[in-house]
Amino acid sequence: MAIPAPPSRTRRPDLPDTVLPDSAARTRVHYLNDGRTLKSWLLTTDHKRIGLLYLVSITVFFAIGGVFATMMRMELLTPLGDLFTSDVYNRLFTMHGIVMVWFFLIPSIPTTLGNFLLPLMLGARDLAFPRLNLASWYVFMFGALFTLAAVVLGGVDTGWTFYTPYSSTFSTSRVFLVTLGIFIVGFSSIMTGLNFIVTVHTMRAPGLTWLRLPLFVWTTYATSLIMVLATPILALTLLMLVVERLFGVGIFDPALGGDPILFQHFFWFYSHPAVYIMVLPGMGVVSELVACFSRKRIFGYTWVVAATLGIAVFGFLVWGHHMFVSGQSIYAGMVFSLLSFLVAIPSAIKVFNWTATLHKGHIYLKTPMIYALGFIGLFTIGGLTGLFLASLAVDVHLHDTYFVVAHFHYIMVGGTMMAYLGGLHFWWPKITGRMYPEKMGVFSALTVFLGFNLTFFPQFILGYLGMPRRYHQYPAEFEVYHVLSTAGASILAVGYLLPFLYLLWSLRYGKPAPDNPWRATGLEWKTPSPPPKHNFDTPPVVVEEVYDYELDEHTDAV
Amino acid sequence: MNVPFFPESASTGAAEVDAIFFVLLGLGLLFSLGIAALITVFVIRYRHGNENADRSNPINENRILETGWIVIPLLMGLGVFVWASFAYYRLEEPPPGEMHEVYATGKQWMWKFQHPNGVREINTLHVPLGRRVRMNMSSEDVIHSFYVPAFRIKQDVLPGRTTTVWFEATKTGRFRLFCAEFCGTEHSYMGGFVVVMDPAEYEAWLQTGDTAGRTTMPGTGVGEPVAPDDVRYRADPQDAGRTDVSPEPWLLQNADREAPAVDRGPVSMAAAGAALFERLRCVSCHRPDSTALYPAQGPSLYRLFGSRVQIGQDRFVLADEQYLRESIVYPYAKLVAGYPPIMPTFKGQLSEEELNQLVAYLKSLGAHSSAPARPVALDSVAAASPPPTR
Repeated sequence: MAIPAPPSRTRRPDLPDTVLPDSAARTRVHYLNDGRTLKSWLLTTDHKRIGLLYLVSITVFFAIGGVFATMMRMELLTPLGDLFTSDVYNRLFTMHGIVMVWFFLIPSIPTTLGNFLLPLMLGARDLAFPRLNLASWYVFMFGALFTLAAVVLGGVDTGWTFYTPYSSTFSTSRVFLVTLGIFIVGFSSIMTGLNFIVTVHTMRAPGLTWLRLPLFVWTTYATSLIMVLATPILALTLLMLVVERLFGVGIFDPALGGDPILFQHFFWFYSHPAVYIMVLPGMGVVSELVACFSRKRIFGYTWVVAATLGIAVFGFLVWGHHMFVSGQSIYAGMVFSLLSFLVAIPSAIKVFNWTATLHKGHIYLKTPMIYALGFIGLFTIGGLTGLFLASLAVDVHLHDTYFVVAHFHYIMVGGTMMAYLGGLHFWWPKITGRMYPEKMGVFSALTVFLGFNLTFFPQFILGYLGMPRRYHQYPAEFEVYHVLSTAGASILAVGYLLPFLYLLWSLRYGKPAPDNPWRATGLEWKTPSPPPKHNFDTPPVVVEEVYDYELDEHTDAV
Repeated sequence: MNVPFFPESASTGAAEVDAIFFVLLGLGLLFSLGIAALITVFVIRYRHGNENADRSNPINENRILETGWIVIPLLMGLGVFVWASFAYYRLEEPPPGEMHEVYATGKQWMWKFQHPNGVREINTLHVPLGRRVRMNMSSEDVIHSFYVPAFRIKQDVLPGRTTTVWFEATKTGRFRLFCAEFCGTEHSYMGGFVVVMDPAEYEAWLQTGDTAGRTTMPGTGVGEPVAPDDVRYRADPQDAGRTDVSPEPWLLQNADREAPAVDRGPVSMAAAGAALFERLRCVSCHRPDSTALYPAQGPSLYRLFGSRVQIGQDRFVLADEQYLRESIVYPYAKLVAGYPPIMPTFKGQLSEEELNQLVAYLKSLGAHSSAPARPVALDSVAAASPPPTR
């Protein structure tokens, strides 16, 4: 690493920021120590504290989903279904999907980093509706309660997609409880989205024009639009599913006069845009990180903004590409295939622009930057393999195989999870007032990258060979790739466990953070670390353009 | 250890799918390695600490670059899209000409097949080499999906509806058959093999209809000593020592549970359908001898298959398997124009196999485009033959 580690407890003379002595950081009043009772946390309307409430909640859910994944990978180590029964295995992959999608990935970046950063980045005191914000967390936890209850009471075995008529008529598992939980959690998504949209429209600081907004704000805004527009469709779909299941009203089950394909249309009309709910915020985080650690304005800022909105709009028009072999008309298949090729273009624009930003930059390979570069690589592979699945004749072979599993894990885990961890490290000093240990950070970022590829790359080959997904036992010729995948998963688990441990450690033992350790632009760095409850002592006025980095001005971590 | 990299390829459609796959792989490698190379070069050259790098005049916007990296990938993508769409059309739409029709029923958790001459089998499907085979598929319960990786074909199998898929095998041998749509507890056991045989052997097999035919296939693993890998791939460890069972757990389990793996039906599917047609009294309304004085209450069914049926003013529907099936289960969904809605529904009264037999019988009454299967004299008096437009 080219950056010389400064001796501890001293600071380089060229750093303008004051490193507070440990005792000073503790005595200064900020949002973390302004009220120490449990009540002051559970009834807070401070967006920063609510962000932390979400952070704790989704970390618990990530751990639960991760345990399910670990159990699945252990079962798949051998071709025989010898560790669990088929029923248990089916519940494992279903609960893994449900917990990870609705209780981790969808809320992950928006509700933690988004909640914490959006008002700070806009120069605002809080979100537009602070109490609605708190309510959204309670609604989230209330819905989560039902889902957790379902897990304890035996789980659900339909797959996270709830395809009918299996889910509506045949499954004997806890479909009602789980869908009720997801139904309720959806309201939390809508509340958060609405809050963010209004906040971005009405609470920008003087001088903070739309084209001066950080890209994280833009992607959060686009994500919020999708949340508000798509989530009601999911709610209605699940409602219809429950009505059919409980009261035998024929909507999806052909035995009752319904149409099972109708469910797939409804479900993917929400769930494909939901993929962009999961990945767009990650793109925003990566834009911030790449700009900061290259010391440059993002290349083609306006194009990236346009691509963000393009993804949000086109994402609504491609749901039918999940149904090329479902019996849908082949001409409908062709239209959805074309639109799927088109929606890849805005994502490609972003990748090219991030890469071009590095050109003639001044690049620091700090932990967040390693996560960001990892994101670009993995997201590129995930996106390109999406084109395989958008190609009709090829999808006929690859649909519902491990190729699909690998593809969406590259997008959601390789993409979103990398961005989430990168962002968490980047803003950790601001959130907690403490620095994380840099060497551990670099080591675990590389571990995650390695473990991830070893876990999921073999699954592309498995899928091309014809291994169907959601198989409890499998033919012996697939074994070697499953062994590789399980080996990778154990490395990945270490990579995720390390940040959990050292970030917790840093809360107490980490070096106190200066106000702007990365010398980043953006209003969130113009407050103390951690910020006071009211964010800014004097309301900021923005006069410079976004990402106003000077090449000769170097960052340096303490 | 055997480490496969490519799936077997054993159908006429497989080569083109693979060709598109590898073109996409080439494009994917070009872009991903290109991006990776650029990132690596930039990170090394412009790293903090290398202060000698030329960082003068950095650019932040460039319209030509942006346009270039929109248009070039777009054109490449559209090229692949067009090719893959044509290939998809060829995979999905069977070419004109005679097809060997096989009927399949998916149920939790087995595949049941019936050949036109009535031979049935479970989880193993015997097909002839070099002939086009068309699968007419439906489900008794939830959604399943018929997937033969070596043929690069997959088609969801739905309850309450007939879906079709076709293939032409180019190699003899045994190829894995999977259910690709999650269908419940034993989803991963719902599979078996497609056995491709020389046409002559296949005909012989159809006549004897028993598994003895399989032992005449050297080199395919059929009837040969079980490979060690296959022994491990058993659902029930208790069977590990047995030599009298199939190496495939699903065959073993399902065979125990229901019918023998192969069972020669008493009569052909069309004949079984004809018997049903009599037993259900369909014939009393769908009389072929309708006259003006004594008109039949339902339309004639001769040469119905493949024709365009008028179901309303300016509304027509193609009489394919799905239409025939739907009209038995939901007679009023697409009622033939000019006939009163008097047909009772047979919903819930017929098994999927019986429905398939009825459809096979109706198809045996002659397709619209081909010569009728019965003497024309019987058919010529039909009052309400469908409009002969196509």
